[in-house]
Amino acid sequence: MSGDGDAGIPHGQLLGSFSERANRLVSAPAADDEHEHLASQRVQLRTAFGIAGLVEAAATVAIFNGLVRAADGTGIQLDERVFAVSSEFRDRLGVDDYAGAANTASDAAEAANWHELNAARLFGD
Amino acid sequence: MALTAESDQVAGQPDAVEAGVRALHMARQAARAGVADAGDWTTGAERVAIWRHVRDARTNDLDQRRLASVSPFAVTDKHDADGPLSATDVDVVHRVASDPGRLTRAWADEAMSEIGEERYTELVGVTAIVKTLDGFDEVLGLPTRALPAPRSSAPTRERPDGVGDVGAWVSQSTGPTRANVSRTFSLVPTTNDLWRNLVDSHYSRGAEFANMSWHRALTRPQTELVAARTTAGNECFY
Repeated sequence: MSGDGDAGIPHGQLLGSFSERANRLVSAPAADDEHEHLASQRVQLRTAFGIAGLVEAAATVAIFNGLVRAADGTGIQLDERVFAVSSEFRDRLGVDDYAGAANTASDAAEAANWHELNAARLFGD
Repeated sequence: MALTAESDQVAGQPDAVEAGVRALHMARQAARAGVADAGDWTTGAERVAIWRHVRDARTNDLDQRRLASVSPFAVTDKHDADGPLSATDVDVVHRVASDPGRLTRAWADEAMSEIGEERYTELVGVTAIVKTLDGFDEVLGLPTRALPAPRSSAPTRERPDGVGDVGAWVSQSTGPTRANVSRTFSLVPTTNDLWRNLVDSHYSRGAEFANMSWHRALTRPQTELVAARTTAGNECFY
């Protein structure tokens, strides 16, 4: 999944492009031209948001590189409520095709009926 | 642009923004020191060795061949044991560091049958911590920091009360939780404390997480855009 739109968010295009490029760098060393692009985007982010904004963007890329390893390394299940409400966009974006989806699949039928199940629990059925 | 430290040059920013960046700096210092110290099931020397292998995984030949393969398990070569780390330890660290999106429960179960679920969990936890620490420096173009000198304290090797099967591959706290990700490393409290402090300072910031309006340099939607692009790039389902 990638894109060059702004998602309707101010400076979204810059933030999205920076995030993808920064994430690739965290995974593997980058070629010189990638370093140059990233350096240019760091300047753009600093101009747009100040040094704190650049630091916050870098911190977010960094911690989510940790979070994906925490989640996938321990095989946690997607929380029931999030599973239920994210069905449409997961399918549209192809997220259900990720290997980690298998960690939640065993409860998929239950989670898909989350609203009904909670109604049943609420009324004691 | 070169930054010398994450807390530099924030003077003059609004107080909440400056405080956030300084908290980030403090948490990162604490994490670097904490990784060099013993955890619950690993020594400081083992944890620093894990850090070295996480760095190696970015370019390691076997990891690159696994990444290029249709299935990472189709490549039959194995990593060797290294110093205080067994071959299984090294394999866990390299796979989690280099290709987390294609791990499987069968593989994790086999690893845990050899090294125990507590040690497995701690290996994953330290990998997540040091990947975060190094990743921040890499993204900002900062020089690679020297690995810390390990401290000689001993791991406690105590399994905490109140953990059990909550549907993950490893035991986690069985009490109420707002999200499964918040109890990921609850089986190994020493590492969990370091990890949660990093998550709090880099992203969630305690009770502020419940607010859709953040007093930071980036708005909540801008931060979530960065987070979404990063998780998508790693093909993380969670």
